[in-house]
Amino acid sequence: MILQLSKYRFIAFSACLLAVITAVAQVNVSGKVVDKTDNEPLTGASIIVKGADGKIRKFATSKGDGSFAISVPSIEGCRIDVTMMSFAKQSIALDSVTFPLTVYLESGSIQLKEVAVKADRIREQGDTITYNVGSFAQQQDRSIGDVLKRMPGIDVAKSGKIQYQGEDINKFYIEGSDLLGGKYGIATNGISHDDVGAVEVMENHQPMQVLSGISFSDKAAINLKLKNKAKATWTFHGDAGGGYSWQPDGAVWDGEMFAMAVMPGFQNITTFRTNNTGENLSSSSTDFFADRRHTGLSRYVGVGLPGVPSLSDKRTLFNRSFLVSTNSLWKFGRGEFKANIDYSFNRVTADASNITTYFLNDGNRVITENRSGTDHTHSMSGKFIYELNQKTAFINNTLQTNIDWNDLSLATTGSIPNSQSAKLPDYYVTNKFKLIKRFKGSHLVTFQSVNEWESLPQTLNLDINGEGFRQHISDHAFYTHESAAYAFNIKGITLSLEGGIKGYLRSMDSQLPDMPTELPGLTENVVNTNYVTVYATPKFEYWVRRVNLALNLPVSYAHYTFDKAIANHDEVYFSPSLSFNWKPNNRFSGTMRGGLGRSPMNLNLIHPGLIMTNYRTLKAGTEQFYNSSSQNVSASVSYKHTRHGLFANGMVMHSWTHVPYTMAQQLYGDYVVYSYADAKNDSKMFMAMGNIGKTLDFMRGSCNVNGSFSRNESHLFSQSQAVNSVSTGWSVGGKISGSPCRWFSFDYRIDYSDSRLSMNGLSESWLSTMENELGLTFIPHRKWQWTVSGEHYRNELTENSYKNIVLLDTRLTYQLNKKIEFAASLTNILDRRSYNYTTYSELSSFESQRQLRGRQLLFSITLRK
Amino acid sequence: MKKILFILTSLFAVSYLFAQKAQIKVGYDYHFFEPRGIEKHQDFILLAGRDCSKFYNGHSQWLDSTRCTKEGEQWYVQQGLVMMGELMNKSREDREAILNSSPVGHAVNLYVVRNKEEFKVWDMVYHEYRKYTEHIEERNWTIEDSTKNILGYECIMATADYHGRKWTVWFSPEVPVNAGPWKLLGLPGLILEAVDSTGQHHFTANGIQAVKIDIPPVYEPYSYENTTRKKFLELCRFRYDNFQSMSDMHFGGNGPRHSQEKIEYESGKDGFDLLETDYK
Repeated sequence: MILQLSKYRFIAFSACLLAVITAVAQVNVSGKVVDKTDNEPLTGASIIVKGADGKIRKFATSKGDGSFAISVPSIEGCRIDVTMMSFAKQSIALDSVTFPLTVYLESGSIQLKEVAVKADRIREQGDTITYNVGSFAQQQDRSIGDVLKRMPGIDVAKSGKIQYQGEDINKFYIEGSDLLGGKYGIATNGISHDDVGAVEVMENHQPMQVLSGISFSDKAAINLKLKNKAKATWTFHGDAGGGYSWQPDGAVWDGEMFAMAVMPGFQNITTFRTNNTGENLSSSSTDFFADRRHTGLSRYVGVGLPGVPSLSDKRTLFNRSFLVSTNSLWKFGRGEFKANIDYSFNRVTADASNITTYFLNDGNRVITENRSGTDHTHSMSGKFIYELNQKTAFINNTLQTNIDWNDLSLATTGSIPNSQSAKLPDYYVTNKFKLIKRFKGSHLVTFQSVNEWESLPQTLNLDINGEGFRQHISDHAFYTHESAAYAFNIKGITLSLEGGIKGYLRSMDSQLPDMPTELPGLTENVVNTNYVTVYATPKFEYWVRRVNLALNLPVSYAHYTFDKAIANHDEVYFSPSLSFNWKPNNRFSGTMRGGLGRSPMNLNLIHPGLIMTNYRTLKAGTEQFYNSSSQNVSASVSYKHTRHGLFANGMVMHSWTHVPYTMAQQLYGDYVVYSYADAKNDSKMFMAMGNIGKTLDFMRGSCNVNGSFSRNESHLFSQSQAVNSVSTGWSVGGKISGSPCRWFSFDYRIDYSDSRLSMNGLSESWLSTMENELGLTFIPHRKWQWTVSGEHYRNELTENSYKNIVLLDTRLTYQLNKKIEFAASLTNILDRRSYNYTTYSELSSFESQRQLRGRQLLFSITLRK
Repeated sequence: MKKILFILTSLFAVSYLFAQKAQIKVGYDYHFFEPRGIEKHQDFILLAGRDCSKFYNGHSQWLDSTRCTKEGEQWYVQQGLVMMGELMNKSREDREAILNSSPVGHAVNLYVVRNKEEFKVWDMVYHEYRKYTEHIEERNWTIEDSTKNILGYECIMATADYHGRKWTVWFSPEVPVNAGPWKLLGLPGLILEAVDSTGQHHFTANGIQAVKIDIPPVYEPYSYENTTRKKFLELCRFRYDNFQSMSDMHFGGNGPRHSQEKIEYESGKDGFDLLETDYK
């Protein structure tokens, strides 16, 4: 019994002993986490005890006083990792320390491998799509335009024009104000993407509030939402660059200054840009919303610089360009006043050589033609707008003037050596007034008055073998249009009637004093082409829920007088059109359109005498008055799924035109004379295109695929001869961009197109062109950035004979701080200075020589405020 | 006195909440089967900082904040009317799809806000809006040997039972933030993926960004009734077990009569359950 008891005692004792031993073997890893800079305890730091094998044994989080305690069986070979966001990681071997341990954490950043949070890149709110700029921007981007190109659904053309889902935008706003009108290229090329928080696309945007809910718009507008730092203050940035170019040989410069103020009552953008590095500034000064001028003048003189190969502008443009633009908007009361003033200067030179070799029995005959030209253009424009845009009233008065001076000289050596120079100024003034008043909620009254005046004098001087010719043309026109309209809306149906009168006065005279003897015909023109039109346009619009149907029935009567040059004419025109839009939900929209009509010919073609367009071409006009007619149908669809970042659109169009005249060409010695003759000229055109864009969130990127097809067929019956010609073309293209990791981003684009011309059943071969463009940017350190980019062009000259060219560039950027950046760029590293090719036929060879911009080294500095 | 004290404490809590700064923003895809057996995907965002976080749906937050302004509410009502028209004569599945894709549709109602040792949860079931607070329980995570790469982060597997389900998660010590999707946390690093043992509830991170922003408050365009977690879960269960009674309760005892087919459709199905199953 005793023995038994002691046995139990022994077991109990042993058990206790074991427990004590185990307890002793546990090591209490304890301590405190402290901020090294201020000795304050840190809460929420993560503490991990790792074994010798690197595996996690235990972990804890530091408490409110920074303390932690972890018990582990053994600390042999163990380490403790202490980490916390915004602090540098501490790793301590536990073998050589005593507890409690104080761990000091130093400020430092934990670099996250960032992957953009998906839900934020594109958002949809009703009819507004919001693109987050930061999630599409890449390190090498500078302006907001660079980022817009990567947003699916948005397309920025080479000219700078913006399209959304295949349709041109109808307004470009900055913080809700339309400062720039159609010259929004100044903003897309100038505003730094870093100042823009979001790009909003407003679908079905009706810019005139007075028409909202009454008149449907299938166009979208873009609004830039600026970051707070760019609002209510002036922002500036400037670039200055200088360097050396191998061709044209000499110094190059590239400079830009950009200032912007976006305040509640005042906005201003002033920019100044200049370069001779081949950058075309026209995208910054083109008015993308400009209406067609009703003065209808066009130049007869057609002297132009030799064409350049179809490579990017920066490879082929030999320029000296300068642009200054200042744009202001003041809000006062309920209206706003805007002034847009700009001036640009552009000097472009181009050279071309063609060598034709005829293989003859008695040896080769070589004919060389060299052309060398210079074009100087000064453009000045001013636009002054007052606008009141309210729910019950809309008033807009726009006074605009454009003055251009264009001086061109072109010297040709070869079979007919000559030099040509042309002075081609253009003076244009217009005032447009529009007033819309809405009353009783659904009644609208509109008054409109448009007056335009233009003068387009043209002087052509020729020097052929030391003999001089001079031709002067004076051409001016005045156009006036006054109209009134009344509309009312009941339950989604709008009926309106517009009536008005248009008047047009134009006079042209030309003189060709020293006519080459071999040419028959008059050398003088004195022409007046005037008309008066009265018109009425009933409109019917049905707009309920998701369906819109609009029918336009314009009918007009026109009386033409030609001051005895040809007989007076009276004409009636009727051009109905119908459009139908269906938008069953926010994702899908479909539109169908159709129209037919009759229209008068271009009045510029009416002249009895000859007009010289260049040193070997002349134009004899017509003494007939013609009308042409046309029909067209088109359908377009668009689809978007913003959650998936998917945008798609497609369009098909078919049109028919019937023109009762044709252009005829006749040779008189070395001269070509174009004239117009009666003929039945029927043509039809079919076109289809599609586009799909998608975000690629896993690499902060996006991609786009597009394709198009067109077929143009025309039948010409002229002097009992029938000519049937068909031109067919198709193209596909794609682009992809992304930033798969923090230190690398890329942009790639490919375009391929193929076309063919057939005449009377005889087909020429398909000729293709392909263009590849790749840019790679590496960011080894946040201050350094290195871009390598290149283009490859492959143009098919004749069947299965290709011209390939590869051009490479590189750029290195160092960012000193947020305000100062230095860059060095080397373009056309391989120094490809010419684009020459030769094509052969059985009896001859043709060699074309064109110059390219050579290697160029440029250093630049960028300053930002 | 009690009321004043409550107001003071809530004011304090609110001002404290405003002061919370997020250091990271993480996007999660929540792929799950709801108790009706219907498969769904929802997008969530986690804003997390030191001892604080907010787990929410970006669109719902935008809509709720919009509706807290006068113009926003007007716009919402207008859009709602337009949508009502659209929903007419549509099949049930179509209606749900329209509601979920529309800017005024409110597909996701859950907000989980963490402040130190406490969760505050906003949620809805059958148009009944509720909120409750919950003390954050210790989790008994077991760290496993398995690892997995998610969004470029080396993640370690850990398992634990929580609120009735057995969870397997992957966390990354490279992101030293004690946070994760929904109410999952308690590991020495961000939880980037979590799946329960049935595979019916699955959170996967699809984006991560470093941020430095204040965590915005939860906007309440609805009147949320205070409740407890257990009570809310019971209410949810009630909605799936007794659909007609739930509808009656919501409409004050006099709800529309639903067809047997509709009740069948709306009822919970065998093998599917709420995200938290410890209501029993």
